[in-house]
Amino acid sequence: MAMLEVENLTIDFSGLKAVDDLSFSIEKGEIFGLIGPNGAGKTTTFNMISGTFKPTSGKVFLEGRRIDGNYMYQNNQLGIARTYQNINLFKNITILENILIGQHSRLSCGLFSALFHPPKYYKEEKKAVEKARNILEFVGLKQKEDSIASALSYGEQRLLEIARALASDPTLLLLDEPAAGMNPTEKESLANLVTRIRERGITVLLVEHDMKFVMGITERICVLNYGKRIALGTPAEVQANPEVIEAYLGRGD
Amino acid sequence: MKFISQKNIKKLSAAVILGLVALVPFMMEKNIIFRQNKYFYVLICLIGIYSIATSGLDILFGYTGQISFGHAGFFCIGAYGSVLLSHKSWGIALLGVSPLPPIVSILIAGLIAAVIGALLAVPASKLVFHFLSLLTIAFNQIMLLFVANFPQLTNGYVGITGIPMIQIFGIDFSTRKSKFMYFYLVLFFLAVLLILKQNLVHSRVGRGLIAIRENTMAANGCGVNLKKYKIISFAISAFYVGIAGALYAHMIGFISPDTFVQNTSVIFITMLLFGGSGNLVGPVLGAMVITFIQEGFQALANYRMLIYGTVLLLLILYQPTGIAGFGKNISSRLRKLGGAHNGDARS
Repeated sequence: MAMLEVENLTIDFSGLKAVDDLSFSIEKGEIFGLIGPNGAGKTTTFNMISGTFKPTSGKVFLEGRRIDGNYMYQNNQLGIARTYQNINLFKNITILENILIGQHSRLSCGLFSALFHPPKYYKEEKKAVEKARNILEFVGLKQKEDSIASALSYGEQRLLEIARALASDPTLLLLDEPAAGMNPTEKESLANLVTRIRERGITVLLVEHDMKFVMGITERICVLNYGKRIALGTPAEVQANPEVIEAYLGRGD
Repeated sequence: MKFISQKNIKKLSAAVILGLVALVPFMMEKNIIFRQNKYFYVLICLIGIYSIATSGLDILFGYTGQISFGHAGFFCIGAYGSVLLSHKSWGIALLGVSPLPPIVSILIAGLIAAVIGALLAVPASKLVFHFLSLLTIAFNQIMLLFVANFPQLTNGYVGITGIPMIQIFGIDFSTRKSKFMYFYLVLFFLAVLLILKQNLVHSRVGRGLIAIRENTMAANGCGVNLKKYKIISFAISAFYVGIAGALYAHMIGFISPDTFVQNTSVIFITMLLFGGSGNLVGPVLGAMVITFIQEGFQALANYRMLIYGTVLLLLILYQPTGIAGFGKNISSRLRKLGGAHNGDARS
Protein backbone atom coordinates (compact mmCIF):
# COMPACT_ATOMS: atom_id res chain seq x y z
CA MET A 1 0.00 0.00 0.00
CA ALA A 2 1.22 3.47 -0.84
CA MET A 3 2.30 5.70 2.03
CA LEU A 4 0.37 8.67 0.70
CA GLU A 5 -2.16 8.74 -2.07
CA VAL A 6 -3.49 11.95 -3.53
CA GLU A 7 -6.53 11.51 -5.76
CA ASN A 8 -7.99 14.21 -8.01
CA LEU A 9 -7.16 16.89 -5.48
CA THR A 10 -8.69 20.27 -6.32
CA ILE A 11 -8.94 23.49 -4.39
CA ASP A 12 -10.89 26.48 -5.57
CA PHE A 13 -10.09 29.86 -4.04
CA SER A 14 -13.30 31.62 -5.14
CA GLY A 15 -12.80 31.03 -8.83
CA LEU A 16 -9.06 30.44 -8.90
CA LYS A 17 -8.16 26.78 -9.06
CA ALA A 18 -4.83 26.81 -7.24
CA VAL A 19 -4.61 23.04 -7.50
CA ASP A 20 -6.54 21.29 -10.23
CA ASP A 21 -7.26 17.57 -10.38
CA LEU A 22 -3.89 16.54 -9.00
CA SER A 23 -3.06 12.87 -8.41
CA PHE A 24 0.10 11.14 -7.33
CA SER A 25 1.18 8.58 -4.79
CA ILE A 26 4.23 8.20 -2.63
CA GLU A 27 5.69 4.81 -1.75
CA LYS A 28 6.86 3.86 1.71
CA GLY A 29 10.44 4.94 2.37
CA GLU A 30 10.64 7.21 -0.64
CA ILE A 31 12.02 10.74 -0.86
CA PHE A 32 9.51 12.44 -3.10
CA GLY A 33 9.84 15.95 -4.51
CA LEU A 34 7.10 18.37 -5.41
CA ILE A 35 8.40 21.14 -7.62
CA GLY A 36 7.16 23.80 -9.98
CA PRO A 37 7.56 27.47 -10.81
CA ASN A 38 6.30 30.19 -8.47
CA GLY A 39 2.57 30.00 -7.88
CA ALA A 40 2.29 26.48 -9.25
CA GLY A 41 0.37 25.28 -6.18
CA LYS A 42 3.11 23.35 -4.39
CA THR A 43 2.61 24.81 -0.95
CA THR A 44 -1.17 24.72 -1.38
CA THR A 45 -0.96 20.99 -2.10
CA PHE A 46 1.32 20.60 0.86
CA ASN A 47 -1.16 22.44 3.07
CA MET A 48 -4.03 20.24 1.94
CA ILE A 49 -2.06 17.12 2.79
CA SER A 50 -0.99 18.39 6.20
CA GLY A 51 -4.47 19.70 7.04
CA THR A 52 -4.12 23.49 6.90
CA PHE A 53 -6.53 23.72 3.95
CA LYS A 54 -9.56 21.64 3.21
CA PRO A 55 -9.66 20.60 -0.46
CA THR A 56 -12.72 21.57 -2.53
CA SER A 57 -12.78 18.06 -3.97
CA GLY A 58 -10.57 15.01 -4.20
CA LYS A 59 -9.20 12.65 -1.61
CA VAL A 60 -6.01 12.12 0.35
CA PHE A 61 -5.14 8.76 1.89
CA LEU A 62 -2.42 8.05 4.43
CA GLU A 63 -1.67 4.33 4.38
CA GLY A 64 -5.18 3.71 3.11
CA ARG A 65 -6.88 5.89 5.69
CA ARG A 66 -8.70 8.92 4.35
CA ILE A 67 -7.30 12.14 5.84
CA ASP A 68 -8.44 15.05 3.70
CA GLY A 69 -10.40 17.62 5.70
CA ASN A 70 -8.69 16.59 8.94
CA TYR A 71 -7.22 19.24 11.17
CA MET A 72 -3.45 19.49 11.31
CA TYR A 73 -3.33 18.20 14.89
CA GLN A 74 -5.27 15.07 13.88
CA ASN A 75 -2.88 14.39 11.02
CA ASN A 76 0.03 14.84 13.37
CA GLN A 77 -1.44 12.19 15.65
CA LEU A 78 -1.82 9.90 12.61
CA GLY A 79 1.86 10.29 11.76
CA ILE A 80 2.29 13.33 9.53
CA ALA A 81 4.77 15.95 10.69
CA ARG A 82 5.67 19.09 8.83
CA THR A 83 7.91 22.11 8.67
CA TYR A 84 7.01 25.55 7.40
CA GLN A 85 8.20 27.72 4.56
CA ASN A 86 8.33 30.74 6.87
CA ILE A 87 9.84 29.32 10.02
CA ASN A 88 7.24 28.79 12.76
CA LEU A 89 9.15 28.00 15.92
CA PHE A 90 8.14 28.51 19.55
CA LYS A 91 10.52 31.42 19.74
CA ASN A 92 10.69 32.41 23.39
CA ILE A 93 11.29 29.00 24.92
CA THR A 94 14.29 26.73 24.87
CA ILE A 95 15.20 24.35 22.12
CA LEU A 96 14.65 21.36 24.37
CA GLU A 97 11.16 22.63 25.19
CA ASN A 98 10.46 23.04 21.47
CA ILE A 99 11.26 19.38 20.96
CA LEU A 100 9.17 18.36 23.97
CA ILE A 101 6.18 20.15 22.45
CA GLY A 102 6.98 18.31 19.23
CA GLN A 103 6.37 15.05 21.13
CA HIS A 104 2.89 16.18 22.17
CA SER A 105 1.05 13.55 20.13
CA ARG A 106 3.20 10.73 21.50
CA LEU A 107 2.97 11.54 25.21
CA SER A 108 0.01 10.47 27.28
CA CYS A 109 0.00 12.85 30.26
CA GLY A 110 -3.55 14.11 30.76
CA LEU A 111 -4.95 16.88 32.92
CA PHE A 112 -4.85 14.85 36.12
CA SER A 113 -1.21 13.86 35.66
CA ALA A 114 -0.38 17.42 34.69
CA LEU A 115 -1.82 18.83 37.89
CA PHE A 116 -0.80 16.18 40.41
CA HIS A 117 2.42 14.71 38.98
CA PRO A 118 1.99 11.03 39.90
CA PRO A 119 5.05 8.74 39.52
CA LYS A 120 4.15 7.89 35.92
CA TYR A 121 4.48 11.60 35.06
CA TYR A 122 8.15 11.61 36.11
CA LYS A 123 8.79 8.41 34.20
CA GLU A 124 7.30 9.82 31.01
CA GLU A 125 9.03 13.20 31.34
CA LYS A 126 12.39 11.56 31.84
CA LYS A 127 11.92 9.45 28.75
CA ALA A 128 10.70 12.47 26.77
CA VAL A 129 13.75 14.55 27.69
CA GLU A 130 16.05 11.67 26.79
CA LYS A 131 14.34 11.26 23.44
CA ALA A 132 14.50 15.03 22.82
CA ARG A 133 18.26 14.98 23.44
CA ASN A 134 18.68 12.07 21.02
CA ILE A 135 16.83 13.96 18.33
CA LEU A 136 18.90 17.10 18.94
CA GLU A 137 22.01 15.02 18.63
CA PHE A 138 20.67 13.51 15.40
CA VAL A 139 20.24 16.92 13.75
CA GLY A 140 23.36 18.37 15.37
CA LEU A 141 21.90 20.85 17.86
CA LYS A 142 22.85 18.98 21.03
CA GLN A 143 25.06 21.68 22.52
CA LYS A 144 22.32 24.28 22.16
CA GLU A 145 19.51 22.59 24.06
CA ASP A 146 19.25 25.35 26.66
CA SER A 147 19.33 28.34 24.35
CA ILE A 148 16.19 30.20 23.37
CA ALA A 149 14.93 29.26 19.92
CA SER A 150 15.04 32.80 18.55
CA ALA A 151 18.75 32.98 19.39
CA LEU A 152 19.60 30.35 16.77
CA SER A 153 20.96 31.21 13.36
CA TYR A 154 18.62 30.92 10.40
CA GLY A 155 20.02 27.59 9.28
CA GLU A 156 19.84 26.21 12.83
CA GLN A 157 16.23 27.34 13.11
CA ARG A 158 15.43 25.31 10.02
CA LEU A 159 17.15 22.30 11.61
CA LEU A 160 15.18 22.81 14.79
CA GLU A 161 11.94 22.77 12.80
CA ILE A 162 12.94 19.44 11.33
CA ALA A 163 13.94 18.15 14.76
CA ARG A 164 10.62 19.23 16.23
CA ALA A 165 8.81 17.46 13.40
CA LEU A 166 10.83 14.28 14.00
CA ALA A 167 9.89 14.41 17.68
CA SER A 168 6.37 13.25 16.84
CA ASP A 169 7.69 9.97 15.36
CA PRO A 170 6.18 10.67 11.95
CA THR A 171 5.74 8.04 9.25
CA LEU A 172 5.51 10.82 6.69
CA LEU A 173 7.60 13.98 6.96
CA LEU A 174 6.59 17.03 4.94
CA LEU A 175 9.35 19.54 4.35
CA ASP A 176 8.34 22.92 2.91
CA GLU A 177 11.35 24.50 1.22
CA PRO A 178 13.83 23.29 3.83
CA ALA A 179 16.83 24.64 1.93
CA ALA A 180 15.48 28.16 1.49
CA GLY A 181 17.99 30.74 2.62
CA MET A 182 20.75 28.22 3.33
CA ASN A 183 24.31 28.51 2.08
CA PRO A 184 25.86 25.67 0.01
CA THR A 185 27.53 24.01 3.02
CA GLU A 186 24.32 24.06 5.00
CA LYS A 187 22.44 22.68 2.00
CA GLU A 188 24.87 19.82 1.73
CA SER A 189 24.48 18.84 5.37
CA LEU A 190 20.72 19.21 5.00
CA ALA A 191 20.73 16.80 2.05
CA ASN A 192 22.71 14.44 4.21
CA LEU A 193 20.22 14.84 7.06
CA VAL A 194 17.24 14.13 4.79
CA THR A 195 18.92 10.94 3.60
CA ARG A 196 19.57 9.89 7.19
CA ILE A 197 15.95 10.60 8.06
CA ARG A 198 14.86 8.24 5.30
CA GLU A 199 17.22 5.62 6.66
CA ARG A 200 15.15 5.76 9.83
CA GLY A 201 12.23 4.50 7.75
CA ILE A 202 10.50 7.84 7.42
CA THR A 203 8.96 8.76 4.09
CA VAL A 204 9.77 12.30 3.01
CA LEU A 205 7.76 14.67 0.84
CA LEU A 206 9.75 17.70 -0.16
CA VAL A 207 8.61 20.97 -1.67
CA GLU A 208 11.62 22.82 -2.97
CA HIS A 209 12.75 25.60 -5.23
CA ASP A 210 16.40 24.66 -5.39
CA MET A 211 16.66 22.35 -8.42
CA LYS A 212 20.11 21.05 -7.65
CA PHE A 213 19.05 20.12 -4.13
CA VAL A 214 15.90 18.33 -5.29
CA MET A 215 17.53 16.49 -8.16
CA GLY A 216 20.28 15.31 -5.86
CA ILE A 217 18.24 13.62 -3.17
CA THR A 218 14.80 12.66 -4.44
CA GLU A 219 13.84 9.39 -6.05
CA ARG A 220 10.79 10.68 -7.83
CA ILE A 221 9.49 14.13 -8.59
CA CYS A 222 6.08 15.53 -9.41
CA VAL A 223 6.14 18.79 -11.37
CA LEU A 224 3.27 21.23 -11.07
CA ASN A 225 2.41 24.20 -13.22
CA TYR A 226 -0.70 26.35 -12.78
CA GLY A 227 -2.06 23.81 -10.32
CA LYS A 228 -1.81 20.90 -12.76
CA ARG A 229 0.58 17.98 -12.88
CA ILE A 230 2.80 18.27 -15.94
CA ALA A 231 5.30 15.53 -15.21
CA LEU A 232 6.00 12.69 -12.80
CA GLY A 233 9.07 10.50 -12.71
CA THR A 234 12.70 10.16 -11.71
CA PRO A 235 14.84 13.30 -11.67
CA ALA A 236 16.42 12.31 -14.99
CA GLU A 237 13.06 11.72 -16.66
CA VAL A 238 11.68 14.97 -15.37
CA GLN A 239 14.69 16.96 -16.46
CA ALA A 240 14.35 15.61 -19.99
CA ASN A 241 10.64 16.34 -20.19
CA PRO A 242 10.03 19.14 -22.74
CA GLU A 243 6.95 20.41 -20.90
CA VAL A 244 8.97 20.88 -17.73
CA ILE A 245 11.69 22.72 -19.57
CA GLU A 246 9.07 24.94 -21.12
CA ALA A 247 7.44 25.69 -17.76
CA TYR A 248 10.74 26.67 -16.21
CA LEU A 249 12.52 28.34 -19.11
CA GLY A 250 9.74 29.41 -21.41
CA ARG A 251 9.03 28.37 -25.00
CA GLY A 252 11.97 28.53 -27.33
CA ASP A 253 10.39 30.15 -30.39
CA MET B 1 28.67 22.93 44.25
CA LYS B 2 26.55 20.25 42.67
CA PHE B 3 25.08 18.83 45.85
CA ILE B 4 22.30 21.39 45.92
CA SER B 5 20.50 21.29 42.61
CA GLN B 6 18.80 24.39 41.29
CA LYS B 7 15.45 22.67 41.61
CA ASN B 8 15.98 22.06 45.30
CA ILE B 9 17.08 25.63 45.89
CA LYS B 10 13.85 26.80 44.31
CA LYS B 11 11.78 24.46 46.45
CA LEU B 12 13.65 25.46 49.57
CA SER B 13 13.30 29.18 48.96
CA ALA B 14 9.59 28.72 48.25
CA ALA B 15 9.21 26.98 51.62
CA VAL B 16 11.18 29.70 53.39
CA ILE B 17 9.07 32.46 51.83
CA LEU B 18 5.90 30.61 52.72
CA GLY B 19 7.11 30.25 56.31
CA LEU B 20 7.94 33.95 56.57
CA VAL B 21 4.58 34.93 55.15
CA ALA B 22 2.86 32.61 57.61
CA LEU B 23 4.66 34.46 60.42
CA VAL B 24 3.20 37.84 59.44
CA PRO B 25 -0.01 37.56 61.50
CA PHE B 26 1.96 36.21 64.43
CA MET B 27 4.32 39.17 64.35
CA MET B 28 1.36 41.49 64.14
CA GLU B 29 -0.16 39.82 67.15
CA LYS B 30 3.08 40.36 69.07
CA ASN B 31 3.15 44.01 68.03
CA ILE B 32 6.36 43.56 66.04
CA ILE B 33 4.83 44.97 62.87
CA PHE B 34 1.68 46.94 62.15
CA ARG B 35 0.56 46.87 65.79
CA GLN B 36 -2.52 44.68 65.47
CA ASN B 37 -3.98 46.95 62.88
CA LYS B 38 -7.17 45.06 62.07
CA TYR B 39 -7.43 46.69 58.69
CA PHE B 40 -4.07 45.25 57.81
CA TYR B 41 -5.37 41.72 58.35
CA VAL B 42 -8.03 42.36 55.77
CA LEU B 43 -5.40 43.79 53.48
CA ILE B 44 -3.12 40.76 53.60
CA CYS B 45 -6.10 38.47 53.08
CA LEU B 46 -7.07 40.56 50.06
CA ILE B 47 -3.56 40.27 48.69
CA GLY B 48 -3.77 36.49 49.01
CA ILE B 49 -7.16 36.41 47.30
CA TYR B 50 -6.04 38.67 44.47
CA SER B 51 -2.90 36.56 44.11
CA ILE B 52 -5.09 33.51 43.50
CA ALA B 53 -7.22 35.39 40.97
CA THR B 54 -4.24 36.88 39.16
CA SER B 55 -2.45 33.52 39.06
CA GLY B 56 -5.57 32.08 37.46
CA LEU B 57 -5.62 34.85 34.88
CA ASP B 58 -1.93 34.17 34.28
CA ILE B 59 -2.70 30.60 33.17
CA LEU B 60 -4.93 32.02 30.46
CA PHE B 61 -2.99 35.14 29.53
CA GLY B 62 0.61 34.49 30.54
CA TYR B 63 0.78 30.86 29.44
CA THR B 64 -1.88 30.44 26.78
CA GLY B 65 -1.66 33.96 25.36
CA GLN B 66 -5.41 34.54 25.45
CA ILE B 67 -6.53 37.90 26.81
CA SER B 68 -9.54 38.28 29.07
CA PHE B 69 -11.07 41.56 30.18
CA GLY B 70 -13.90 39.71 31.86
CA HIS B 71 -12.41 37.73 34.71
CA ALA B 72 -14.43 39.71 37.25
CA GLY B 73 -17.28 37.67 35.77
CA PHE B 74 -15.70 34.49 37.16
CA PHE B 75 -14.93 36.27 40.40
CA CYS B 76 -18.65 37.07 40.50
CA ILE B 77 -19.65 33.46 39.81
CA GLY B 78 -17.36 32.24 42.58
CA ALA B 79 -18.63 34.79 45.10
CA TYR B 80 -22.34 34.50 44.36
CA GLY B 81 -22.08 30.77 43.74
CA SER B 82 -20.58 30.06 47.13
CA VAL B 83 -22.85 32.50 48.96
CA LEU B 84 -26.03 31.19 47.35
CA LEU B 85 -25.01 27.63 48.20
CA SER B 86 -24.17 28.35 51.83
CA HIS B 87 -26.43 31.22 52.93
CA LYS B 88 -29.23 30.36 55.32
CA SER B 89 -31.80 32.73 53.84
CA TRP B 90 -30.77 33.22 50.20
CA GLY B 91 -30.09 30.94 47.24
CA ILE B 92 -30.72 27.25 47.74
CA ALA B 93 -32.23 28.00 51.15
CA LEU B 94 -35.10 29.66 49.26
CA LEU B 95 -35.65 26.39 47.44
CA GLY B 96 -35.97 24.54 50.71
CA VAL B 97 -32.55 22.87 50.41
CA SER B 98 -30.44 23.10 53.53
CA PRO B 99 -27.35 25.29 52.96
CA LEU B 100 -23.93 23.69 52.51
CA PRO B 101 -20.95 24.37 54.75
CA PRO B 102 -18.92 27.25 53.19
CA ILE B 103 -15.76 25.19 52.70
CA VAL B 104 -17.74 22.85 50.43
CA SER B 105 -19.59 25.67 48.69
CA ILE B 106 -16.30 27.42 47.89
CA LEU B 107 -15.06 24.38 46.00
CA ILE B 108 -18.38 23.87 44.23
CA ALA B 109 -18.42 27.56 43.27
CA GLY B 110 -14.93 27.15 41.80
CA LEU B 111 -16.15 24.18 39.78
CA ILE B 112 -19.20 26.11 38.55
CA ALA B 113 -16.88 28.91 37.42
CA ALA B 114 -14.74 26.31 35.63
CA VAL B 115 -17.74 24.87 33.79
CA ILE B 116 -18.92 28.32 32.73
CA GLY B 117 -15.34 29.14 31.74
CA ALA B 118 -15.28 26.04 29.55
CA LEU B 119 -18.58 27.02 27.96
CA LEU B 120 -17.32 30.55 27.32
CA ALA B 121 -14.21 29.08 25.73
CA VAL B 122 -16.25 27.35 23.02
CA PRO B 123 -16.95 30.61 21.18
CA ALA B 124 -13.84 32.29 22.60
CA SER B 125 -11.51 29.65 21.15
CA LYS B 126 -12.31 30.93 17.67
CA LEU B 127 -11.42 34.54 18.48
CA VAL B 128 -8.16 36.41 18.85
CA PHE B 129 -6.98 39.80 20.08
CA HIS B 130 -9.62 42.54 20.24
CA PHE B 131 -12.47 40.23 19.31
CA LEU B 132 -11.61 38.07 22.27
CA SER B 133 -11.37 41.17 24.47
CA LEU B 134 -14.84 42.24 23.41
CA LEU B 135 -16.30 38.81 24.02
CA THR B 136 -14.84 38.66 27.53
CA ILE B 137 -16.02 42.21 28.31
CA ALA B 138 -19.49 41.17 27.19
CA PHE B 139 -19.27 38.11 29.43
CA ASN B 140 -18.41 40.30 32.41
CA GLN B 141 -21.42 42.51 31.68
CA ILE B 142 -23.72 39.52 31.30
CA MET B 143 -22.70 38.13 34.70
CA LEU B 144 -23.11 41.55 36.27
CA LEU B 145 -26.56 42.13 34.78
CA PHE B 146 -27.56 38.61 35.70
CA VAL B 147 -26.88 39.01 39.42
CA ALA B 148 -28.19 42.57 39.42
CA ASN B 149 -31.47 41.70 37.78
CA PHE B 150 -32.42 38.59 39.72
CA PRO B 151 -33.46 40.19 43.01
CA GLN B 152 -35.50 37.11 43.97
CA LEU B 153 -32.31 35.11 44.01
CA THR B 154 -29.53 37.63 44.65
CA ASN B 155 -31.24 40.63 46.28
CA GLY B 156 -30.19 42.72 43.26
CA TYR B 157 -28.15 45.86 43.81
CA VAL B 158 -28.92 45.83 47.52
CA GLY B 159 -26.54 42.94 47.89
CA ILE B 160 -26.40 40.05 50.34
CA THR B 161 -25.29 40.36 53.95
CA GLY B 162 -24.93 37.76 56.66
CA ILE B 163 -22.67 35.55 54.58
CA PRO B 164 -21.71 32.55 56.72
CA MET B 165 -18.17 32.39 58.05
CA ILE B 166 -16.03 29.38 57.40
CA GLN B 167 -15.78 26.65 60.00
CA ILE B 168 -13.66 23.57 59.60
CA PHE B 169 -13.76 20.91 62.33
CA GLY B 170 -15.22 23.47 64.70
CA ILE B 171 -12.38 25.93 64.13
CA ASP B 172 -13.69 29.36 63.28
CA PHE B 173 -11.99 31.05 60.33
CA SER B 174 -13.79 34.35 60.55
CA THR B 175 -12.02 37.69 60.33
CA ARG B 176 -14.26 38.96 63.07
CA LYS B 177 -13.49 36.52 65.84
CA SER B 178 -9.94 35.26 65.57
CA LYS B 179 -8.22 37.79 63.43
CA PHE B 180 -5.65 35.90 61.46
CA MET B 181 -7.18 32.47 60.94
CA TYR B 182 -8.72 33.55 57.66
CA PHE B 183 -5.32 34.60 56.41
CA TYR B 184 -4.02 31.06 56.98
CA LEU B 185 -6.98 29.68 55.08
CA VAL B 186 -6.26 31.99 52.13
CA LEU B 187 -2.58 31.13 52.36
CA PHE B 188 -3.42 27.44 52.24
CA PHE B 189 -5.53 27.86 49.10
CA LEU B 190 -2.86 30.05 47.53
CA ALA B 191 -0.08 27.57 48.25
CA VAL B 192 -2.04 24.59 46.89
CA LEU B 193 -3.17 26.47 43.79
CA LEU B 194 0.34 27.78 43.08
CA ILE B 195 1.77 24.26 43.35
CA LEU B 196 -0.89 22.98 40.95
CA LYS B 197 -0.13 25.83 38.58
CA GLN B 198 3.57 25.08 38.69
CA ASN B 199 2.86 21.40 38.06
CA LEU B 200 0.56 22.22 35.18
CA VAL B 201 2.96 24.43 33.29
CA HIS B 202 5.74 21.85 33.60
CA SER B 203 3.76 19.10 31.95
CA ARG B 204 2.65 18.05 28.50
CA VAL B 205 -0.63 19.91 28.99
CA GLY B 206 1.12 23.11 30.10
CA ARG B 207 3.52 22.88 27.17
CA GLY B 208 0.49 22.60 24.89
CA LEU B 209 -0.77 25.89 26.33
CA ILE B 210 2.64 27.53 25.92
CA ALA B 211 2.76 26.28 22.34
CA ILE B 212 -0.53 28.07 21.63
CA ARG B 213 0.88 31.27 23.10
CA GLU B 214 4.09 31.01 21.14
CA ASN B 215 2.75 30.03 17.74
CA THR B 216 -0.79 28.84 17.17
CA MET B 217 -0.10 27.43 13.72
CA ALA B 218 2.90 25.43 14.84
CA ALA B 219 1.03 24.22 17.93
CA ASN B 220 -1.65 22.79 15.66
CA GLY B 221 1.03 21.14 13.52
CA CYS B 222 2.57 19.59 16.63
CA GLY B 223 -0.67 17.82 17.47
CA VAL B 224 -2.09 20.31 19.97
CA ASN B 225 -5.88 20.40 19.66
CA LEU B 226 -6.29 24.17 19.84
CA LYS B 227 -9.94 24.23 20.81
CA LYS B 228 -9.54 21.59 23.53
CA TYR B 229 -6.51 23.28 25.07
CA LYS B 230 -8.08 26.72 25.02
CA ILE B 231 -11.12 25.23 26.77
CA ILE B 232 -8.84 23.61 29.38
CA SER B 233 -7.04 26.91 29.91
CA PHE B 234 -10.25 28.92 30.28
CA ALA B 235 -11.71 26.36 32.68
CA ILE B 236 -8.67 26.18 34.97
CA SER B 237 -8.26 29.93 34.90
CA ALA B 238 -11.93 30.38 35.80
CA PHE B 239 -11.60 27.83 38.62
CA TYR B 240 -8.83 29.87 40.25
CA VAL B 241 -10.73 33.13 39.93
CA GLY B 242 -13.93 31.49 41.13
CA ILE B 243 -12.21 30.21 44.27
CA ALA B 244 -10.78 33.68 44.82
CA GLY B 245 -14.24 35.22 44.46
CA ALA B 246 -15.71 32.77 46.96
CA LEU B 247 -12.94 33.44 49.49
CA TYR B 248 -13.53 37.15 49.00
CA ALA B 249 -17.25 36.85 49.70
CA HIS B 250 -16.78 34.83 52.88
CA MET B 251 -14.14 37.21 54.15
CA ILE B 252 -15.93 40.52 53.54
CA GLY B 253 -19.28 39.10 54.59
CA PHE B 254 -21.19 41.20 52.08
CA ILE B 255 -21.47 41.08 48.31
CA SER B 256 -23.25 43.25 45.79
CA PRO B 257 -22.91 43.55 42.01
CA ASP B 258 -20.72 46.66 42.40
CA THR B 259 -17.73 44.52 43.32
CA PHE B 260 -17.75 42.72 39.98
CA VAL B 261 -17.79 45.61 37.55
CA GLN B 262 -15.54 45.82 34.51
CA ASN B 263 -13.01 47.80 36.50
CA THR B 264 -12.25 44.76 38.66
CA SER B 265 -11.31 42.79 35.53
CA VAL B 266 -8.99 45.60 34.52
CA ILE B 267 -7.40 45.55 37.97
CA PHE B 268 -6.67 41.81 37.58
CA ILE B 269 -4.96 42.51 34.26
CA THR B 270 -3.06 45.42 35.80
CA MET B 271 -1.81 43.22 38.63
CA LEU B 272 -0.68 40.59 36.15
CA LEU B 273 1.15 43.00 33.87
CA PHE B 274 2.61 44.81 36.83
CA GLY B 275 3.96 41.70 38.49
CA GLY B 276 4.92 39.94 35.28
CA SER B 277 2.98 37.27 33.42
CA GLY B 278 3.98 33.73 32.56
CA ASN B 279 5.65 32.86 35.85
CA LEU B 280 4.86 31.84 39.40
CA VAL B 281 5.79 34.88 41.51
CA GLY B 282 4.80 37.64 39.10
CA PRO B 283 1.06 37.53 39.77
CA VAL B 284 1.64 37.43 43.54
CA LEU B 285 3.99 40.42 43.42
CA GLY B 286 1.57 42.29 41.20
CA ALA B 287 -1.35 41.60 43.52
CA MET B 288 0.72 42.81 46.45
CA VAL B 289 1.96 46.04 44.90
CA ILE B 290 -1.32 47.05 43.29
CA THR B 291 -3.29 46.34 46.45
CA PHE B 292 -0.92 48.50 48.45
CA ILE B 293 -1.02 51.28 45.87
CA GLN B 294 -4.80 51.15 45.81
CA GLU B 295 -5.19 51.17 49.56
CA GLY B 296 -2.22 53.36 50.39
CA PHE B 297 -3.30 56.16 48.11
CA GLN B 298 -6.93 55.98 49.16
CA ALA B 299 -6.70 59.60 50.29
CA LEU B 300 -6.02 60.66 46.72
CA ALA B 301 -9.40 59.27 45.67
CA ASN B 302 -9.56 58.91 41.89
CA TYR B 303 -6.18 60.51 41.35
CA ARG B 304 -4.58 57.26 42.42
CA MET B 305 -5.73 55.82 39.09
CA LEU B 306 -3.51 58.48 37.56
CA ILE B 307 -0.56 57.25 39.61
CA TYR B 308 -0.85 53.65 38.77
CA GLY B 309 -1.75 54.42 35.19
CA THR B 310 1.54 56.27 34.92
CA VAL B 311 3.52 53.61 36.73
CA LEU B 312 1.97 50.89 34.56
CA LEU B 313 2.79 52.78 31.40
CA LEU B 314 6.40 53.23 32.45
CA LEU B 315 6.63 49.59 33.39
CA ILE B 316 5.24 48.38 30.06
CA LEU B 317 7.61 50.67 28.21
CA TYR B 318 10.77 49.94 30.16
CA GLN B 319 10.16 46.66 31.95
CA PRO B 320 7.61 44.70 29.91
CA THR B 321 8.26 41.53 31.89
CA GLY B 322 6.98 43.18 35.07
CA ILE B 323 8.54 43.20 38.51
CA ALA B 324 9.26 39.48 38.35
CA GLY B 325 11.20 40.02 35.12
CA PHE B 326 13.18 42.75 36.83
CA GLY B 327 14.18 40.31 39.58
CA LYS B 328 15.03 37.66 37.00
CA ASN B 329 17.27 40.08 35.11
CA ILE B 330 19.21 40.84 38.26
CA SER B 331 19.53 37.19 39.28
CA SER B 332 20.68 36.13 35.80
CA ARG B 333 23.27 38.89 35.84
CA LEU B 334 24.46 37.77 39.24
CA ARG B 335 24.62 34.19 37.99
CA LYS B 336 26.64 35.30 35.00
CA LEU B 337 29.07 37.03 37.31
CA GLY B 338 29.26 33.93 39.48
CA GLY B 339 29.51 31.72 36.39
CA ALA B 340 32.45 33.70 35.03
CA HIS B 341 34.09 33.38 38.41
CA ASN B 342 33.72 29.61 38.42
CA GLY B 343 35.08 29.43 34.92
CA ASP B 344 31.74 28.19 33.62
CA ALA B 345 32.19 28.45 29.88
CA ARG B 346 28.65 27.62 28.89
CA SER B 347 27.31 30.37 26.71
